[in-house]
Amino acid sequence: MKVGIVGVGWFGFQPEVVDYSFREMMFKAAQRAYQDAGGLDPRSDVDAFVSCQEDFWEGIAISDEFAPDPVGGAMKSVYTVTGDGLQCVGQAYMMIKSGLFDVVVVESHAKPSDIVTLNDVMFFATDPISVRPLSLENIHALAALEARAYMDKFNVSEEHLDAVVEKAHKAGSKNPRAVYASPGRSRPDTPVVADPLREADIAKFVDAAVVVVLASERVAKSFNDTPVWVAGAWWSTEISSLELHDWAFPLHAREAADGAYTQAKIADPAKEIGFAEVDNRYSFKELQHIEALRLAPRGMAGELLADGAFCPGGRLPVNLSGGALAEGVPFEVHGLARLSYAVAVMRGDIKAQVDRREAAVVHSWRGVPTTTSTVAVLRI
Amino acid sequence: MRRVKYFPEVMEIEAYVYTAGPVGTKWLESLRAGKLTAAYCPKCGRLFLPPKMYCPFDFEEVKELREIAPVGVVETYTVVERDFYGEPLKERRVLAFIKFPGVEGGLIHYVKTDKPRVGMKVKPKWRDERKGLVTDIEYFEEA
Repeated sequence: MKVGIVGVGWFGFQPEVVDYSFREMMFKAAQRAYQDAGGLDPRSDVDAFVSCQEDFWEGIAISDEFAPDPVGGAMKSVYTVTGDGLQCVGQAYMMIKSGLFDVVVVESHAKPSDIVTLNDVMFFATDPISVRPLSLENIHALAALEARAYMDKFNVSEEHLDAVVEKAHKAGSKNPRAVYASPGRSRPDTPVVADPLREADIAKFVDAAVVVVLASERVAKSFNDTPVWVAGAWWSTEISSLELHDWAFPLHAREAADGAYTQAKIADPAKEIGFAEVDNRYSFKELQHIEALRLAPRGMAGELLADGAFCPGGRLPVNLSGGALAEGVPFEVHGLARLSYAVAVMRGDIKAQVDRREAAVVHSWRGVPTTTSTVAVLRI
Repeated sequence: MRRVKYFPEVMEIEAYVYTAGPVGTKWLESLRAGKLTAAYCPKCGRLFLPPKMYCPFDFEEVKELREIAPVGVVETYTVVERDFYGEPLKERRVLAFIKFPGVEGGLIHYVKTDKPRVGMKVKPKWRDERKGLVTDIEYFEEA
């Protein structure tokens, strides 16, 4: 039983969505997704809903209870996952594969502009015994520790990071929802925040909601003539203590990729994958994730990227959208942002500079201080 | 006229008591005593930091902490110059991940130095008045 994506809708992708609460943003994204799925009626056509969210992002305890009605799911089977939206796609994939569900809706939303003390909220995710008493003024410092460990171990230079930033902003300037894309952005001209990270290495936050409709092969074409098939979805979390994770390489991303590739029967990703959308909420993360997804050998992504291999029109374009550096980070929506862009490219809705649209890989990481990645392989 | 588009709220999370757990309590007590210890797994024989009452590698129950030599090595570091909101800090701070020979994991902590480097040997600067917190180590300094 194949699992297809038959509808995608998004709303927001603005630094501040002033007029709508997160529930209304969910509603707007859902309306669009259901239109994209041939006018699907969530009250009668959907078997289950899965929502990816986190209480502290919303300022509401037990926010699961707020999930059903904005997407048309009241009095229906609704599951909430405290994780990235791409993990919800994994849940929907399993539910449909089980044969018990034909149509499952996936949703995630984020309104970082509502959070007045975002650094404190993010820092709240660190270990209360071993890390919290240090009172970090900047949670990005944890990413900077990873950046130096990676760059030191694999001889990655600041020029490689310059190339990632330049590529992201150039690519993003063609993506209508990439509000932070600035083609003239020059990384060396931005101030050092936590070395080796400069301001331009760190993605900004963005308000957004994305809804995705998945359906079994049996019913998919009744909603959409051009479904994009989910060929594999896998995720992985390392040890909960940051101190015990690998500072130089995202093993969680490697594990997630290998799981998804096995499901999708992909033996040589660098040859079989046509393009990729990966997490680049920090510039060096794009290089790490390219390597973790086996699209380049370890330590080689920087050189290959600087040579143009991962640029639009290159051998294997990565982040044709510009990624999070251009679109911003919408918390747990991030994976669905990467997925929705890839789906639009595969369906031809977005005319991107890519030779091979038949197979794509999508990756998301939940950001510091997490060690969770999800990877999905898509085919048409 | 008062705008009602937004209304400010304060999350009621200021007061919360975390339980350190049996092994975590012993670890904090050792810090208060000015000693560095690590959890010891009786199955695989690994020492690890931060300590927990279960071995993250083989799920064995951990009951014992062993004192370790208080000399660590900077595995990675960053000089933090700006806060999360982009404002320059009054004082640059060196944050590091410090490993200890023979111990899995390590400690994230501040290092007082003008010239941080990967591989630098560091030792803890203990506070005179200690409370049983990781900040009983005020910072690490070159050993």
